[in-house]
Amino acid sequence: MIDRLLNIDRRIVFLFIFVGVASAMLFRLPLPITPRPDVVSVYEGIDAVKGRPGGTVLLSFDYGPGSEPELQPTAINIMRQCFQNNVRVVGMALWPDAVGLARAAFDSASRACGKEYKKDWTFLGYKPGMETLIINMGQDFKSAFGQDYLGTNTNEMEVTRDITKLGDFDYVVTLAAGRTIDGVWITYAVDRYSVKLGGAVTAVMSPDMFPYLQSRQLKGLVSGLAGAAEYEKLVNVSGSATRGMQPQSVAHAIIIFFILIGNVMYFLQRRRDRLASPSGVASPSRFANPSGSRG
Amino acid sequence: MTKMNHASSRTATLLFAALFVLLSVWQLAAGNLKLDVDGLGVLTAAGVTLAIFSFLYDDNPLFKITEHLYVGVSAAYTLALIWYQVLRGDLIVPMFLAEVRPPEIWTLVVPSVLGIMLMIHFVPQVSWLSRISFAFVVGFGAGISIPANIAAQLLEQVHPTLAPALGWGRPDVFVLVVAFALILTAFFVLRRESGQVSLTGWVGPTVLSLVFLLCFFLDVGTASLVLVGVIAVLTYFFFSLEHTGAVGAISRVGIWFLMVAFGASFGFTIMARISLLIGRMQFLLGDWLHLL
Repeated sequence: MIDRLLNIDRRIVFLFIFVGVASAMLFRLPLPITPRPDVVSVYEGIDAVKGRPGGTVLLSFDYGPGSEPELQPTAINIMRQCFQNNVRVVGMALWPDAVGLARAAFDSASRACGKEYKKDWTFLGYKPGMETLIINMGQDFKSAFGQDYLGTNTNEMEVTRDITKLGDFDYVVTLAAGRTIDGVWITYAVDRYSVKLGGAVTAVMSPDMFPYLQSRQLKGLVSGLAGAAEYEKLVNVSGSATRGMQPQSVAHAIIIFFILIGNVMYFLQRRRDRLASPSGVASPSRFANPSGSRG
Repeated sequence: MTKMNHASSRTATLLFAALFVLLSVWQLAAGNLKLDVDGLGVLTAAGVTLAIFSFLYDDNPLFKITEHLYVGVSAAYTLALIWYQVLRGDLIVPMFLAEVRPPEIWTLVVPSVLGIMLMIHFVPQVSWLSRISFAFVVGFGAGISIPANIAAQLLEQVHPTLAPALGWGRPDVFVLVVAFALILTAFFVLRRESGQVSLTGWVGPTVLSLVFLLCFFLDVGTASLVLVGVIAVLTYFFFSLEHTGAVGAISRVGIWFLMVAFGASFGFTIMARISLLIGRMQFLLGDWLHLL
């Protein structure tokens, strides 16, 4: 029994997760969502731009389709918040894969809020260079982005006409699934050009970002699907992130259950081996290689 | 490279293909999906999602085909995007097709020449030319990134890490007492280890996790706990002193801090992966099967 529970087929674990997640989606039992201070900081940072003449927020789309469930809801909700507050939004991408996602987010949010391209928002598209691009934007925004994604001159658009350098943006949010947030934005934009930077990152990256929150290099952080759900709570929207929290909790409970089984069985096995051994010391190799083969 | 188990692989292929066909036919017959551009898009996305998920059962041809399709489509998409937005938009049009050429044309010519020289690396007779470009890339990269990284990643981090030490308050004293207790525990656990009683694997990190939780919920001294952790972890990585006695105890506390950090990273990683699964499940149950 102990050996069988220590060697559960991984497909059974996958099946449990699948059934748990699907059930939690089909039968709703809303769980309370309380926004954390780091998420509230991003919300309040953007809210503070409201009412400023020509207030503009820059969104950097630095993720690909693999991180869409975690970051796309935050992108759309930040845009909605800006549009509802009559704050202009400019988008850009440091990742080429992000272009399609950014366009979809702009289309969705601008249509929902009735905002006009060129006047209230624009998407500059993808540019290579990372660090050099940020430095270029910090020195001369128009030379870094002479045209937007659709080929319109940035000097001719109302939304970018008065932007001359990176520091002219009232708030910058990077939606990052890679090292662009600390390797590029924090290192160059915050340190050199004193940009107010908020971040939205995948949950995997969250622990690496906490030191930057402590040092205030990062003003706020929306981390993963949980952060996205908290942001939805702040903007009073019940979107895909909020709906995803119930299955998330069920999946976590199932994983914790299997971890507990594994640990309890491990200690039981060790105790059994110690009792069975003439020297009273359990063999450490049994758990590592229960079949006993040398393959 | 993994070898496919033929029986298991066949089961996975048939199971997931049958699942896809049956459920798609059901949706088409029910009128939830139509054979137009949108409907075909949903069907394709559902098919490739199931093909990728089929790997969870076992490696199989469906997964292999989709895996290669994914790599090919990603590469083609990136190439097309870079061609239209970067090479054509920023280089070819301004240099050759624009009515008015930019005044500082050298800013386009010099990078282009350096870029071409990088590509020349693949021509053996003149491959030495690529070294000029590589030298430029390495020199420029080092010059621009070293000072910036030292300033942003090191110096900016020193102050918030040391801040608790600059002004001790009551919470910090509490954490200091806890840290001292941890080191003392580690010291005694180390002594017991020599007697073949090894509980350090889980006792230390568990106690430390409880301390973290206590600090978090009482909202006291988290910053000073981080300072204690930094010192302990640095001691663990300091190999010029033998890790015995007090140094050994502090470095053992450093290991506990590392284990708690790895545990936190592991937890966040699981959360991220489950989020991706939820994203796909929302698509499958919502857009494809219309059950949500």
